[in-house]
Amino acid sequence: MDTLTPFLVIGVAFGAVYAVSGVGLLVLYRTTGVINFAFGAIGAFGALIAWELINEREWGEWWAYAVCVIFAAVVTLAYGMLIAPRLADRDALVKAVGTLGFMLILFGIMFWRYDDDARTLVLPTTNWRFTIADTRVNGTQVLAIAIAIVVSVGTGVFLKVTKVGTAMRAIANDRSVTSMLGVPVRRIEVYAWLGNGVLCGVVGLLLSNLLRLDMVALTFLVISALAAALIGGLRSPTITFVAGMVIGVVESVLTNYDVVTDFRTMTPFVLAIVALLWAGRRRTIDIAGRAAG
Amino acid sequence: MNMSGYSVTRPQRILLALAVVAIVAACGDDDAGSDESPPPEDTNTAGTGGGGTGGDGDEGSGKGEFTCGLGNGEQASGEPVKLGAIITSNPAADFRDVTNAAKGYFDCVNVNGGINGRPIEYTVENDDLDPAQAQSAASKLIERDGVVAIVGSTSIVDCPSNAAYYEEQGFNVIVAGVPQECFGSPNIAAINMGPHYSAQGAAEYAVREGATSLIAVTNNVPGAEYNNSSIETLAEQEGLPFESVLVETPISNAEALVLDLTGKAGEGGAIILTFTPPEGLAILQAAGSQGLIDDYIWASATPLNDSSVAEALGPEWDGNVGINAELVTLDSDGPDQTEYRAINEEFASDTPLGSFGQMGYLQAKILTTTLMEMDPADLDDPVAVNEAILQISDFETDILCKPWYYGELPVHIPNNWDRTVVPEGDNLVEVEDCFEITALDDALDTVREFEETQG
Repeated sequence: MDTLTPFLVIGVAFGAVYAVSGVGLLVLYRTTGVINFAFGAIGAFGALIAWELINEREWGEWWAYAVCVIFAAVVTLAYGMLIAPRLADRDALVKAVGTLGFMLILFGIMFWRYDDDARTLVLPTTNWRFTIADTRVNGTQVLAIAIAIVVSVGTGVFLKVTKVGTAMRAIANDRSVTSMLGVPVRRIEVYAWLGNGVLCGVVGLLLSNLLRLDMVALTFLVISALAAALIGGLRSPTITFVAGMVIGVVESVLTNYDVVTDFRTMTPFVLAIVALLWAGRRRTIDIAGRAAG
Repeated sequence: MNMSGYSVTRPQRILLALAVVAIVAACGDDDAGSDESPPPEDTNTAGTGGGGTGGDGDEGSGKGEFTCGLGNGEQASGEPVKLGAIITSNPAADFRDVTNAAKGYFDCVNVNGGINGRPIEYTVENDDLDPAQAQSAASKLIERDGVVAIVGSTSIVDCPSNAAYYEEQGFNVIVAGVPQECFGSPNIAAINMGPHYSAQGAAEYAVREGATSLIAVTNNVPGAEYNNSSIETLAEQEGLPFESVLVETPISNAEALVLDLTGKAGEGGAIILTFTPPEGLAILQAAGSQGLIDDYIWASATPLNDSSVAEALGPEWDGNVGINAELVTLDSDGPDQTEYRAINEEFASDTPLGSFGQMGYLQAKILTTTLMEMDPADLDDPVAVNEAILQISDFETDILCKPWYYGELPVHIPNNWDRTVVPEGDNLVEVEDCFEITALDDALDTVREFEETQG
């Protein structure tokens, strides 16, 4: 068997989750100007609640999964409606720090409520196993890839074709002008926060299967997802999708090479920096430090 | 002013807030009376001074049902005997279970007559993985709070940061040790053997199972190589190929890691893990997912000797990973293990049964027994208390393979025998009874020589 193939196959599955998370971050950023650093923490919290409902409250699995997604949607929406509007006129850094603070609050609550015991949440799809190129693949990995494709393509089409999508793009270009043109900016932003929240919940469930149900690991997934979104220039769902897949595959394949295996966790950062340098190669900076061109 | 055509009204805000609260509350405890989780604060106290109630438990609960303290069912009163501990408790490493279990034992003592009538006040400081905070915590406990002994500390930074300070202050500290320094000081003695010797014990099990290579895997943190070093010495002694693998945590892609590890081990090779339960479980589950269980020998240091791991692993792992157990299995019916379960249920019910809890219980019991045997007039004298701790010898308990002791030694590794357990259903069952860890370094040689002189 080619020793590289299993790493490629596994990498694609992980890349899919980075991709779907990256697209979620991108859509929210394009609409609200906010990078949601709490993305992973919200998903982790939802997944832990689902685990608790199934294992300690004896709820049915599907009800628990639904609660996970609803929780993530409501919490994200709550932030989007209660806190984000108060930061709407501040610069992007302040907005990002706002979500970073929200992430730390959620992280603290999770840490207080759930200790670091080993937990496992198994979606029914995880038990569907088959073999591709001598590598075992499960249904959740396939589901992650399918969701990544649907979300990426769907987002691209949605932004271009629908009225709400057009409004989102307009808000991304100039929030104040769009508002003066009569577009209900806050309502559109609420849609974006809600969509982002649903994705948080879905990604939380997927990752608790693909990675593990661990608040630390899931919370900091946002780094790889953000790298994918940055490579996509925080604009293109397609490039973000591809970038997520590439990060997942490169990170996985590097595991196979002892010389570089210790550095594989740097993959998202290195690729993001290279992409940013590449994107800015022809940009000139005027004397006031503003990018021109 | 609403320039954007949509604003959040007050009722909507309230509705949203209620929705969030409702979802979180849905996961709240059903049982009245079980809401009291161990306090998350950095400081918690067992019992109170001045004749207050006995800790977190319902007043009166547990009175007279246990042999802790005087076992008389009477609330201790008067000036408390002050004890302290330092733990690391943050998302990277959380050892609250140790001090929660110790506190549970002290709570039991306090509602059963205390230390000859006096309650124990147990103060736990969190170093948050910061050496400076660990140093501050030690000086706060000893110099400001006036604790007479430190027991139950479980920290990644306490021993390296404070070993010299404890020596200077004449404190003989009892800990659940993590880093090397907890096993190399004249003033620190651990209830456990630590990851270095525990990983070696797991590797020795793998060798007995016929391993053709030894791959030692642990997380990439300062000092982690030490965890793997004894396995390297064992591999040299056995003439087996060896590789040490340090992994960044949290592990981002366990399946790729497992492919790499099994590639290094080769068929029949052994992979020895030293990880906390979430990371170790991720690796084992990835191996299961890739169908890589049967062709390799899987072993682990003590941290995976945890009921949550056995519950989370599927039946495919039954009997297929040998986990080193420094302490007796959780379902053992020995007197101390039985008492630990009962006290945990009564006084620390929110803390899961596990190795960490056993360590906390046992340390608290050892110190309580020592204090009970002292002249009551000396209980507030740290010099007398720490001299009594130094003299602890031959403390018999069914939780450990051999009696525990302190003694005047340059290094302390009193727990140097252990067992092997494997998952079976939702439990961990013993497959190897107590065995002696091979002395592969000078420290263990020193300890074994001392033990021989003590008989």
